[in-house]
Amino acid sequence: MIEPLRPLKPHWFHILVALAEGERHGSAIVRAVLEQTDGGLRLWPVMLQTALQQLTEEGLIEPLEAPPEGESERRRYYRLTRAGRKAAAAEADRLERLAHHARAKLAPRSRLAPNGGRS
Amino acid sequence: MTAWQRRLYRAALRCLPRSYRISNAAEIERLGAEYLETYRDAGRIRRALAFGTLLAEAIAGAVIARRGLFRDLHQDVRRAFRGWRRDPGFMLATVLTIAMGVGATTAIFTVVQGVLLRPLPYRDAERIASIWVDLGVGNQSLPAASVGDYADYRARSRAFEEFAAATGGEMIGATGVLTGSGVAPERAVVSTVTANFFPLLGVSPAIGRSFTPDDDRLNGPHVAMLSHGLWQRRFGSDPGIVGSSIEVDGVRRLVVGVLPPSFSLFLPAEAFLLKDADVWMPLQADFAHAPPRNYTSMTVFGKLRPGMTWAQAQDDMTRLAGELRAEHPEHAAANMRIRVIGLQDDVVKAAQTPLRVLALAALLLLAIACANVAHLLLARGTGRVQEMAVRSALGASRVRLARQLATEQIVLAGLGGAAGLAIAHVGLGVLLSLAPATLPRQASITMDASVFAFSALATLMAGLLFGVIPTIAGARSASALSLMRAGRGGTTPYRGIRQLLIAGEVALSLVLLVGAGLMLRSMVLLQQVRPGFDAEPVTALSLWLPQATYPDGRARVAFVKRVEEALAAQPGVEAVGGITQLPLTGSGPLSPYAYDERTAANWESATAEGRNATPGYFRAMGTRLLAGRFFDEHDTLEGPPVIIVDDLLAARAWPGRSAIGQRLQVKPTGTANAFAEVVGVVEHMRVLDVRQSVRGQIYRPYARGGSAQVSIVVRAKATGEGDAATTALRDTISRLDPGLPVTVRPMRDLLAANLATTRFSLVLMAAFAMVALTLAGIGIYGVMAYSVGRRAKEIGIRMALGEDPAGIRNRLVREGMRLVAISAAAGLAGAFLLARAQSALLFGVHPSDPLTFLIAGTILLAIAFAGCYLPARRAVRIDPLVALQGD
Repeated sequence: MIEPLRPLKPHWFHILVALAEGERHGSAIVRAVLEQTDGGLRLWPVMLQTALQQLTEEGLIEPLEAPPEGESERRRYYRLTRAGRKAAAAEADRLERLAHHARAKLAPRSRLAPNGGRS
Repeated sequence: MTAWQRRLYRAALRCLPRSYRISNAAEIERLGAEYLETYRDAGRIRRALAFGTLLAEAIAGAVIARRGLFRDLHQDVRRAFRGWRRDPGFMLATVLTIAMGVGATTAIFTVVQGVLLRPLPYRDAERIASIWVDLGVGNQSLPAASVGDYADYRARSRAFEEFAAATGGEMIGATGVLTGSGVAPERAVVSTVTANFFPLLGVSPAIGRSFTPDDDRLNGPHVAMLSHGLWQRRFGSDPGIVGSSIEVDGVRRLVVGVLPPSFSLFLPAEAFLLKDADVWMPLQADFAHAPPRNYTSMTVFGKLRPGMTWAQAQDDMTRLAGELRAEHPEHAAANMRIRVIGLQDDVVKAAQTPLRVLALAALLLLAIACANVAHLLLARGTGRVQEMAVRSALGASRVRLARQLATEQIVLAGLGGAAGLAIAHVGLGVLLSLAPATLPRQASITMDASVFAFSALATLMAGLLFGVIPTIAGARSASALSLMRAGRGGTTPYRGIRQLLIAGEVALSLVLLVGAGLMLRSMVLLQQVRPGFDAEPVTALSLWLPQATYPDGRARVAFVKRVEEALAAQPGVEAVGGITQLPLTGSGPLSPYAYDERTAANWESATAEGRNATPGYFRAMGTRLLAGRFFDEHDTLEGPPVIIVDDLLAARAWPGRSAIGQRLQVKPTGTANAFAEVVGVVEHMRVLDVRQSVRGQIYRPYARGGSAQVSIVVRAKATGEGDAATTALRDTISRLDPGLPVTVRPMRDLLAANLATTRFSLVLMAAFAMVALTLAGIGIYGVMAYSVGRRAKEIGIRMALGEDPAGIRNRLVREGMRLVAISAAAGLAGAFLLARAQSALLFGVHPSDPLTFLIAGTILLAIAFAGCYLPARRAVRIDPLVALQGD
């Protein structure tokens, strides 16, 4: 079981988020991740497949026994486990805290700090 | 995804770990295909880039998935280097041994590949034949045929697709003088060819066109093709040259084409009629008024029909020769034969024996190197059985240990191979600088990857075989504990294999040593051969007198006389003479002759080298006069025809009688001046090769002919002492005719070039033998030191009990030398075999020359003795107490 505060690999996080909307197969995940990152992250075949296998081993996702009705028989579908949902949420919280902290530090300072200051 | 993309992608995916691949490969492939699908409408380059990215991702994924393996590998390599740091001698010895074996083999086989094996650079080169004609029993045998016969080959042969002919035309071994274009005149080699000559070789011009049949008809147009080299050198690579005129020997010729830079004409050494030329002209043969069939004026090349064998081609030409004998009395009289030889074999035949012998020697060296690597590793491996046993007891798997040892071998082989590549590179440079100029196709010698791979693999296999298996087997067969004891015991593991390896090395070294010894003796004997002249103080200046300046024989004779007089007036000059062709530069024009009724009826049965000499020639060359007199200034066109013959011809024509005053029929065409009187007999001059005399010689006075090709020989005290003397000679001629090209060569260089093949083989054999001897010496020393070291305890006890140290030492040496003696006997037997293969390279020494064998054997035994004696002496010098405590 993953520790809540251990950072997730970015592409793991994106896969988990993509699966949060529902069961998907490989190429659907690729498309969803492309979409949710505005084309910033392309999951390459070996990279995706390796991640899916490792996420399964970690118990964060699980393959479906059979594809959802009306879908292709040939493809393997994945869904988020409870643990996966928790891990993704924890990562989102962590990122949020990180973002908050960063914003506080990066906010424009008073004129007292010359040269932008080093802190 | 196209089919080949899919195949490539699958190959890349195969690098992924198997268990992972089984469950994921199909899905990955699908994803990959979908990805490429998005690029369907993109340009070709972007599609290719996308596919490349896909491949790279798969490989990167595989590397990441297998990083455990790479970590192990890294560890193994580091462990190997750590081990070697403790024992640098071992590593250095192994790497050097591998390097020498790999380097020598690669260098030699690179030459073999470039010279003997790589096909000639012509289209369907394996179907191109050189046609030889034998006239008279054992007399003229040359790649030369008559115009009439050539026409009959083309008309009647069934096995050949086509024949083409080439010759130097009027001038044999022709050189012409290029003039005009406002540049200094230059001597250029000129050859004439039939229109189908270049098409037969599959050579198309770089610019312009080849000759057409219309160019080739009798009295056809004055056209020419240029070699790429001449075009660059003299015409500045100007493409406008095609369609403009050049002047060759005072005749303007239209340039129709320039040959490609890759083209060079490869000829058998005996094809004296033509050369790889600068200027090519159509042959324009006169088939209607062809000279007699025994006037062999052209070199003929044939191209076999596809699917024909050489045997079928030979049968076909043998049949044709029979028909021609029946039709032409001169062929019947000379018992004319036709031989078909593959052009490639014909070109390289002289290099075949030396290269094969050297290749064999290099293989022996490789075998010695492998044996040396093997027992170095055996010695080290048995020392490490203990280490392996301990690690195995601590839980390392056998596969893991084997992998570590294998990694060490591969790293060793890699280091050795890299050093070997460097040695091969340097060695090839040395080889080519030593190589005789007559070694054909030197330009096509380039480092050969396959040869290098072969020899590197051989040493790697030896390393794996002897470096991994014994150690692992040892570690498996005994428990760690027992091995820890056995490691210090008195037995020597793998004693049998080790002795066999040493025996092999000793034997092979002796084979090489004998080979080198025989070459050395040949070289010494060759240098003592008298070539028929004294080369030392003689310099030759070769001239070609152009038609334009010297229109007839009289003008040329007058000019040569002036040159001789001017040179003779130079300080230090003792004698000056002229000759149409220098000795040791190959056959020139042949001169048939007859001396009695039988030979007159079949005058081709006797052929001699025909040369024209000025009165001073023999004196300048230092050639001995055996009877009669030299030519003098009265031997001109006005006087009666006189000749000088060599002792070979004199002994054949008039055995047991004096040749002086005899009449020889030298131009048996029934004309009135056909007879010439012999006025002198000189010693035979070697024409082709210092090793042998080929045929007799007839000299006519130069003053009676006055040919355009002439070499002036100068015997002078000061010549050869630097360039100043040479320049003075050259300047003397330039003062008489500033535009005349002069080639200056000391006769000594000609002689040296002639010995180059022997020297080449000698130097290489000697180098191989030295390396082999060193390796064998190291091997014997290593094995002896190792076995004595293991017996230190026994030796210590014996000495403690009062045995005489010298006695122990002598016994140890005796044991070692017994093995050496047995292997040396085997080596002598092997040497007999190599020497037989080598016999064609030898001169004046029998392949089983007892003295050479004796000396080689003695040298080997001396080195082996040192290898045995030194470790034995050290062993008995150790304090017995120390030896016993060491246990």
